[in-house]
This record gives sequence, structure tokens and C-alpha cells, in this order.
Amino acid sequence: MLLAGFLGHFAAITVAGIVLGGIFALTAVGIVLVYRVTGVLNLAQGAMGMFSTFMAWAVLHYWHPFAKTSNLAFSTPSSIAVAVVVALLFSLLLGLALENLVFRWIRGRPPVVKTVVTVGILLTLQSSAALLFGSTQYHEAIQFFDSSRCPDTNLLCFTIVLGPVRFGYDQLLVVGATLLLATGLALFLRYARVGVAMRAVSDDAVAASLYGIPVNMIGSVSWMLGSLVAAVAGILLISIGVTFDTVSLTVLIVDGLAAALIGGLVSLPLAVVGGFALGLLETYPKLWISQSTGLPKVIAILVILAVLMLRSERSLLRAKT
Amino acid sequence: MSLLSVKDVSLSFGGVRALDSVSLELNQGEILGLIGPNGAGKTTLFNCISGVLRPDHGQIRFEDQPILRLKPHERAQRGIARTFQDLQVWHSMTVLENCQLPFDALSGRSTIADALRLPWANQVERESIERARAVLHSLDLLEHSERLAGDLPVGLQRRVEIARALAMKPKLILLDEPASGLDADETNALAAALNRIRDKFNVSMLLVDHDMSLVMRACDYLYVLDFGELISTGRPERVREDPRVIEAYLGAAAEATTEAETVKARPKKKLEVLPPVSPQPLLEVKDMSAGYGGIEVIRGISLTVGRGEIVACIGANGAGKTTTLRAISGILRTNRGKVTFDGKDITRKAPEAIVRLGMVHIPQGRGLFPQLTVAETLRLASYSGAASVDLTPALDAFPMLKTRLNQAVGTLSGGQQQMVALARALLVQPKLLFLDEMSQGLAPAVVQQLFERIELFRKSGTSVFLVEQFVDSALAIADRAYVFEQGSVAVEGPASVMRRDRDVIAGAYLGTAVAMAEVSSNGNGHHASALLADLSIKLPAELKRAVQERAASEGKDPGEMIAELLAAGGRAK
Amino acid sequence: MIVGRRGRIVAGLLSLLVAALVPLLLPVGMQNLAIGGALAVSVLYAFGVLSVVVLTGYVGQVSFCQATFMGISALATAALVNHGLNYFASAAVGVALSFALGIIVGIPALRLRGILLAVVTVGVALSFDYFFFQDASFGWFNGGLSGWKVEEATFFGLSLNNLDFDHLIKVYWLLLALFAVIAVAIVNLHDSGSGRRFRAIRDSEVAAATMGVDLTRYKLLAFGISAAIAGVGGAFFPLVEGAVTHDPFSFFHSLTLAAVAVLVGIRFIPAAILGGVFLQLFPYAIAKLEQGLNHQDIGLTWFNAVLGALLVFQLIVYPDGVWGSQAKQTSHALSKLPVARRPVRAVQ
Repeated sequence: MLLAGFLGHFAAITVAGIVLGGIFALTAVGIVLVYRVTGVLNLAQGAMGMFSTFMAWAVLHYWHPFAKTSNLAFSTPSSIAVAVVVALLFSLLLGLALENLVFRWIRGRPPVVKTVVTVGILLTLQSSAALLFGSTQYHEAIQFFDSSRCPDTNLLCFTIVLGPVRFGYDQLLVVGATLLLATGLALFLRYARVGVAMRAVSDDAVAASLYGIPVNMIGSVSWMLGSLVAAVAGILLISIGVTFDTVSLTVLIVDGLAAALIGGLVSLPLAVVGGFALGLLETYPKLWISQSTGLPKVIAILVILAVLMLRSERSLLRAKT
Repeated sequence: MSLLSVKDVSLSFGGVRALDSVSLELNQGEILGLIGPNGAGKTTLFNCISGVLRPDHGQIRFEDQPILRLKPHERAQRGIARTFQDLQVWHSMTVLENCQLPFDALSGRSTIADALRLPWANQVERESIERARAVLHSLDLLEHSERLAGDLPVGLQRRVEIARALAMKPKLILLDEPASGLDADETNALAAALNRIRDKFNVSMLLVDHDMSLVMRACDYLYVLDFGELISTGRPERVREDPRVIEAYLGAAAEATTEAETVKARPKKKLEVLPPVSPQPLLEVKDMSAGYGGIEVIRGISLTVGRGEIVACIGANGAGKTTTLRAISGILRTNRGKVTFDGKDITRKAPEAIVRLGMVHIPQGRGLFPQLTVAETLRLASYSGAASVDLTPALDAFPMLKTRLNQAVGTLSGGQQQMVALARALLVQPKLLFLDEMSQGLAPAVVQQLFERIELFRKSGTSVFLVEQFVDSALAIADRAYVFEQGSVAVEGPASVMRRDRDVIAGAYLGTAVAMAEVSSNGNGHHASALLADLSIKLPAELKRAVQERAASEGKDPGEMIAELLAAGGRAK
Repeated sequence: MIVGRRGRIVAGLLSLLVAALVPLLLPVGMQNLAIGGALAVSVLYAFGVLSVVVLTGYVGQVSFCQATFMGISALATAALVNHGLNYFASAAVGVALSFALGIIVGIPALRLRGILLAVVTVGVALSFDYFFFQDASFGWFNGGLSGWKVEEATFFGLSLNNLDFDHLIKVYWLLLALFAVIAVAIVNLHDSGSGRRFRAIRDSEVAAATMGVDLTRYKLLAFGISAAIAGVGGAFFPLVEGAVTHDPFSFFHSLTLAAVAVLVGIRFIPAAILGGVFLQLFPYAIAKLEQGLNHQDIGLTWFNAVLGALLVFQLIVYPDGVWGSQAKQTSHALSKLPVARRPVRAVQ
């Protein structure tokens, strides 16, 4: 009986870890994509996702067609769909703007300078979001599967049960969307004409320009995709939580970086694997420690240090000079 | 007793052997030269000696003490200083500070005393300034002492590096290509300076350089490396007569000596210029200048390529051929001049826009993408304005690619890679094709195959502009040729005439060497062997290959060939 | 160098003197606690910016965890004071802790440079922020949710507290004097043999090592000195504010410190004091302008939003203004080659 209880607990935590890992994996995928093609190690990846996510929240909050109050519990599937679409469109615009207004003009600068620029972007996005949407108060999550709407208050509503393992629909959505997006991106890079051109640019941008590949356009596409992935990660993260705020999404960057480093900053599949592994690593301590604010971040930095100390610097920076 | 002894040192990077059991002995007070072609692992050896890299195997002893376990700064404390091939002056510090630092670093100054500016710290500071000034004075750098080292021209920066090394009061200085980037006069001065420095500062030196005139003049003893292997050692005069060395550098026997004595000077001649193939050329470059980071590498380049023409572009390393191509195809911004292509002004256009007008540029190193497969690379032709992405014409021309369509380009051999690059160019069907050093690093048989393929382009109406080290093969298929010298066009004319008049080309390659030989021989012909040394060692590897080829084709001995060329080259001067 | 070393020191000290006179010149109506606190906190942030100048400007090591160094010292000082230790003894322990943490963070820097080092420091800042500074299990260190309260400190019989303007101004003067001493020491260091070793590491590590500079020792020392300077700023935070929580030492404050340092001039010490003023007085003024919202946080948020945008703008438009050396280095690397040699890519 005790063992069964533990197994159930263990299973639940494993599921939670995998789900969290999906979010990390998506963040890492965005970091790797942008770094490989444009050579910018983007510390604002989390902040970009945060801002786009808040656009979805703002749609529900201000333009909710059915409710006068700000209570998101009144959101309907259609209004959620509108909010998500608006957020994703916004993320594409954000990526486009960043490439065209900022990063196009600092090509050829040392990598450190580019990264400092992303710090500036992080500060601006984070602070503007705090000003626009409020930093201190917590925001209610956007739940795709609102269990309060279940006909009976059955605990198993929107849930699949496999033995001791329970998957919430929202959790399945995170994992499914992660795998789908990562696979889709991989296929896009492999087979699409633009995807092949992106890989060409990531190998050698000058030679790519001699092939007639519009390097600026490729840069825009990379940033738009990176931003889109960030937005998806953000929206998924707030869909599985209870509340969220600007900071918790922005600081996803450190987990994303840890996962991306596991993939050597260049490999998408390894970054995805790294994301899931990190998710589990950060969640398993909950088996013993019920509540800890900072332990996950400590685990992330330990993973970063371990990877950086074990891999040679040359192999890490091979992708971009 | 040997000061430095290197024994069986080996080092590989990811499977590539950079050093293979290299050994050498350097005696106290000696200037030891280490020569060998590019990629022979000379800089790697320096990094092993100064502690930047750790060899996989072998032993390095300094003053009979093993030093392999010591960190770089500990080796510096033992008295090993070095300079860097890719200048590493502390660019935001003044020249004086650059030369103070080694003294600071070795005297173990206290950080706390420095921060509080205690009296003895001031004393040490004055001492270090005096010492730095003394070193700067002896290298004629005193007038620059307050300038930032990064603001100095390359020649002065090299001198600052030597001064900085001397400021350490070292026992041994490792000089890594101190003459690269220097002109002939500066190189001469450097050779004299090194001998003076050795006597004055009582140091030993280990010198690595491509510039053989420096090595021959400055060194007491030579080690010759070829592909990681030691092929000869000895005094310079012996080494230069060593048949194995001459073979490695020239592929020639040594009989050329007597012929060389007859060298006489004659001004370079301008060949008659053929009328352009068509009244309006496809590509017209007028008075173009360009460079890197404020330094002009090419000046006042004017050239034309007619429709359907094959034009060759030859000249020594660093003459500005590659830079010219990069400037035309838009990778490099031109400073001045005008470029017209197919009736349109393309000056300062983006490379991707120029490609779509029908100009394909295969750069040095082939400009491929290692991660992409052959098929993916070929399909990228659609970005260059190819009508279709039907790969058949490319596969017909290069059948061997058929079986490798799904292989990553990075895993192909050099020759196969070049075929991929050519196949993609073929698919684009450009009006003009730039080929930069197509044969670089390839075996002669493969090169011959590639040259045959160039005919395919001519047949399909594409003009070809070739930058090539295989002078003879290039001239054989070209209609016209430009010979580059020091950043501008020295000679232009029909390829057939140039092929006959090899002396013109030899003049362009050997110009500086002949001038130097004349200086050193004082006109009395007494230093004939020195003359040959200067001449022969100035020969770039590509000319050596060209000479071998030509000799083989005419059934002559390569040595004979060189003697002829030298005589002709001298006359051309 | 246009102005001599002595000239720079005199000019710097004169400007500090002017800063010291500011509270006396204020109209009586403005001689209130809020203004006094803002002045004193500016100096504290000046220490933070100075620590970036030393580490990044002088030694070329990127760091996004300078607020962490401030925080470790601030919380340790406050915790020790609350256990009955003398304030200045506690501050000394706090600074020593910062120094030690600096050395520890410096260890990865022995192997890493540039963006990878930046990643590590981001991780350090975040994990300290969330774990040691906020986690309930470190309540003995961070004082739990409400943080630590500090009443006063005595300095050789002089009572220092933040209860009224006059006392607070004494703290302000003490901090200015401390800043002056440290700044002069840093200028001395910059121009001396030790400073040259630091700058040599910044310009070319490999040349520094082969010319006898012990990289391990001097990189760690640089991290230690920088962290200790930040720690001095942090140690007086509890005294000036009367209380301390994790809040002013968050991950975002580390980024802000780095951004301000880059914006005002990463290589210059006067920039540090300017940066401190920036960091405190601007948010304060903005908060004042926001009618009815006398909330420092809002001011700081506005400030950060503008700061980030300015930083991006500056790095695009004035490439040589900041981290200029690196841009210059690139152009030097190119100019010294008569012809750019591109690597041969073939796999034979």
C-alpha cells in the first residue's frame, strides 16, 4: 500500500517533470535555432515568449466578448483561440522587428556585444510588460481544459489514466505540442527550400550570399521562428499553472540555456532531449522536498557548469564564429 | 650544451596529425631556423614550447629541465619569450606599457602595494619604465612609446612584439613568422636587426618563417620540415645545396647555379593588347580599389571580360587576385571605382543581387556548406536564378555525383567538393563564372579533370574568370590573362603570347627576389649561390608546381627549366 | 592619455567633494529622509557600477551577477548585525564573503570566455536570487519573507542611522569617503604593474600568459576585487535603507548594473558614480512624477525599460563607444593581413 502510494507520487512527479521539460525543450530549440543561423546567443528568449504570452492574456483580459469582469474563468474556447492566435501573430512580428531593427545592424560584431544587446532587449521587454500588465500581481492562468466546467466534479475530468499514471489533457498538450513543433522544425530545416537555405547560412553566411540566398530574409525567418517557439513555450507554461507573472516566464532563459548547452548550442534533437532531462532533474527533488523556490534554478546552473566543464570550448563554439 | 631540446613531440587535433615526432636541438647563442611549407605544424610546435598547447607525446627540455608540466607563465619565468604570427600586441595599451609588462609580470609586484602606491612600488615602476625605454631605444621605437600599440602599422607592431619579448630578458625567443606582412626592405632590415639583437641582448632564437630570404640570412642553423617530417638539417649554405631540400621546394637539381650568374636586369614589357572580343564587354571594372579595415589591398584595378571569353588571372600570393574577385562579386565593399556587368552598374550591390544577374563566384575554399547534402546544395541553385532545379545536366557533366546525392558535402574529398561547386554553377547557367583557386589542395590528375570541365562552360556561352596557381593549365585554356603584382594589374595580354613569354610571368613572381639578389651580390657576381638562394626560396609553391608541369610536358629536367626561367626572369627585369 | 594620472585623481576627488556638498546646498524643504536616502543609495549603486568597470572594463571578463555579489554581503551583514555583532565587523565579514564568492565564480572564467562566461554568470545570478536570497530554507541567511531590519551603527562613537536626514547624511559622507578611497586605489592599480597585467589579460590572454602573467591568479583576483567592491556597496544597504530583503539584488538588478556600466562607459571610474546617480535618482524622479504612485519600483521599471532601449541603440549606433576594444580588435585582425585568408574547408 505504501509502495503503491509512492509509485503514484513518483508517476505524478515524473509526468510533471516531462511536461516542464517540454517547456524547457521548446525554449532551448528557440535559442539553438537563432544561435545557429544568426550567431546571436539570445538571453531574451524567455522575455520574448513572456511578452507574446501576455498579449494572449491581454486579449482575454480586455476584450473578452462575454464577460465584463477580468475573471478569465469566463473565457470560452473561441476567445482562447483568438487570444492564442493574436499572441502567435504578435510573436512573429516581434521576431521580424528585432531582426530588422536591431540584429541586422550588428552583424559582424563580436558575439559578446550581440549578447549584451539581447540583455538590453530583455530589460526593455520585461519592464514594459511589467508597466503594461502589472508586475507584482499574479495573473490567472489560461486554461485550455477548464475542469470547473466538467459536468460532475470528477477528478478524472480531462484526464487519461494509465495504471498509476495520470495525464491531464493540458499536460498531454504540452508534450504533444513540444514534440510536434520540434519535429516540424526539424522537417522544415531538412526539406523546405527556406530551411535548407537556413542551414546553408548557418554553415557559411558569406558563401550563402554568393549562392543568391537572401541572408537578411533568412535572418528574419530565424528570428520569427525563434520568437514563435518562445511564444508557444510561454503559452503552454501558463496553461499548466495556476497563476503566472512576468518574471517567471523571463527567467525560463536559464533552463533553456542549460538544455541548449546539452545540445552543444547546435543540435536541435539533443536540445530537446536535454530539455526533457532537465525537466525531470528539476522536478524529482520534489519527491523529498515539498516546497523550494530556488532549487530548480540551482540544478539548472549546475547542469550548465557540468556541460561547460566537460565539453571543450571549441566544440561548443564550433557553430558560429 | 643545448638550451632547448625537443624530442619526438607529437600532437593531433581531432584525428589530424599536426606534429609527428618532431625533434630539434637549439644551442646557446644560436639563431635556429625552422622552415617548411604551410601546415607543417610550425606554429603548433611553438605553442607546445611556450605552453599554450600540451603535446600528446614527447619531451621538451629547457636548460636540461623538463618543462612540459609548467604553465605558460612559468616557462616565461624560465626565460622563454615569444612573438605571434597573428599579432597579439596589447592594442589598447601604449607601446611603453607593452614593454613594461613582462618586467612587471616577472618581478612579482604586490597588488596591494600598487593599489596604495607605496614608495617601493613607485621605485619599481620607475625601474620598469627605464628598462622598457632602454629596450625601445635599441629597437628604434622610442618615438612611438606613448602611442597605443593597436594604432601602429603592422611592421611596427611586429617590432613591438620583439621588443616586448626582449623586455623579459629572455634566454630564448621564439619568433613566429616575424617577416609576414613586411615588404622586402623591412625584411632585410629585420634580418640585420635580429643578428644585432642576438649579440646585444645575448639571446638565442628559434625562427619560423615562410620568407626564406630572412631565414637564410639570419639563421646559423636550419631545420627543414616537410609535412611534419624532418628532411634536412644543417648550416644554411649546406641546406640550400641539399638536393632533398631543393627537391622539396623546387623539385629541381642544383645545376642552375652557373646559369644564374648571368642574370641581367631589363625593364618589364607591356604585351600588345588584343582588341576586346565584343565591342561591349560582359564585365567591365574601372579603377577599382578595395581593402580590409582601412588598408587598401588593391588599387586602381581595371579589367574587362568579354562574352564567351575565358580570362586567367595569375600572380604571386598576396597580389590581390582574391580581393579583386571579392570586390567585384560584392562580398567586399569597394572604396573607389565602377563595376559594370551585362550593361548594369553593380558597384556596391549586395552579393545576392549580383548573383541573380548571372554572375557565379566559386570562392577559394569552394564556398560549400559542409552540413548540406550534394542534392541540397545543387537545389540551392534555385536561389541563384536557375530556371529549374532539374539536376540532370549537372549529373550528366559530373556522373560521379549521382551516387553521392545524399551524402553530406563535408564528407566528400576536395576534388569531389569542387565538382559539386562546379555542378551547381552549371545548373545556374550564369553569364560569368569566377573560379578562385579551383585546384588548391588537389592532386594534379584531379585538377586536369576539372580543367576539362571548364570547357563545358565555354560551350554553354558562359564567360570564365579564373584565378589559378596552375599557371600553365590556366593559360592553356584561357583567351587572355592578367598578371597581378602588389595589388594592381602588372601585365595583361593574350594567353597564348604569355605562354610563350614565360619570362613575363616569372618576372611577376620573382620580381622582388631578383631585386634583392642584386642588392646582395653587389653586381660582381660573387655571391652567385646567395643569389640562387634568394631567388629559389622566394618561389611560391604554385610556381614550383607550374615549373614541374612545364618541365614534364617539354621533357626537360626541372632544374634546367628553372635555370632558363631565372635567366629569362632576370632579363625581364 | 590626455590628462595625467594626478589630474584625473584631483578632478575625480573634486567632483566627489561637490557631491558631498549637495545635501548642504539643498533647500530646507528637500532635506527630507527620502532625498537623503536616494543620495546615499546612489553611492551604494556606484560601488556596484564600479565593480563592473573593474571586472569588465579593465580585465575584460563579462559578468551579469554583480548584484549577487552586493546581495550576499548585504544579507550577511544584516544577519550578523541581527545576531548582535557590531555593524562594521559584520560588514567586513560580508565583504569577505563577496570576495570569496567572486573567486568561486572566477573559476569557470579560467576556462570560459565571452558568451559562455556570460551564460554562467546569468545562471549564478538567478540561482542565488531564487535560492539563497529567497528560499525559506535559508531563512537564517535571508531573513525570511520580511528580510532583516537594522536600526543603527556606531562608527567610533559616531551614531549612524536612517532615522532622520542629518544622520543619513553622515552615512552618505562616510560612503563617499569610502568610495573615494577605493576609486583612488583602483586608479593606482590601473596605472601600475598589477593593472597592466589585468589589461594585458583583457587585450590578449595568450600573449599575457606567455609573457609571464599568471592567468589563474590574476583572473581570480580580478573577480575577487570586483566582487569585494560590489560587496562594500551591499554591506551598507541595510544601514541606509533600515531594512534589507532579496529585492534589490535580483537577477534583473545584475543586468541593470551591467547595462548602466556599458551605457555610461565601461572603462571609466567617474562613470561609476554617474551610473550610481543614474540608477537611483532617475527612478526616484520618475516615481515622483507618477502622480500618487510614490513607489520606487515603478520608477525603476520605467528606468529599466528606457535603459534597455538606450543600450540597444548605443550598441548599434556607436560600435566603438563600448566594448570598443573588441570591435577594434576585429578590424585589427583583418587589417594586419594583406589579403584575408579564408580557411580551406575541404575534408580530404
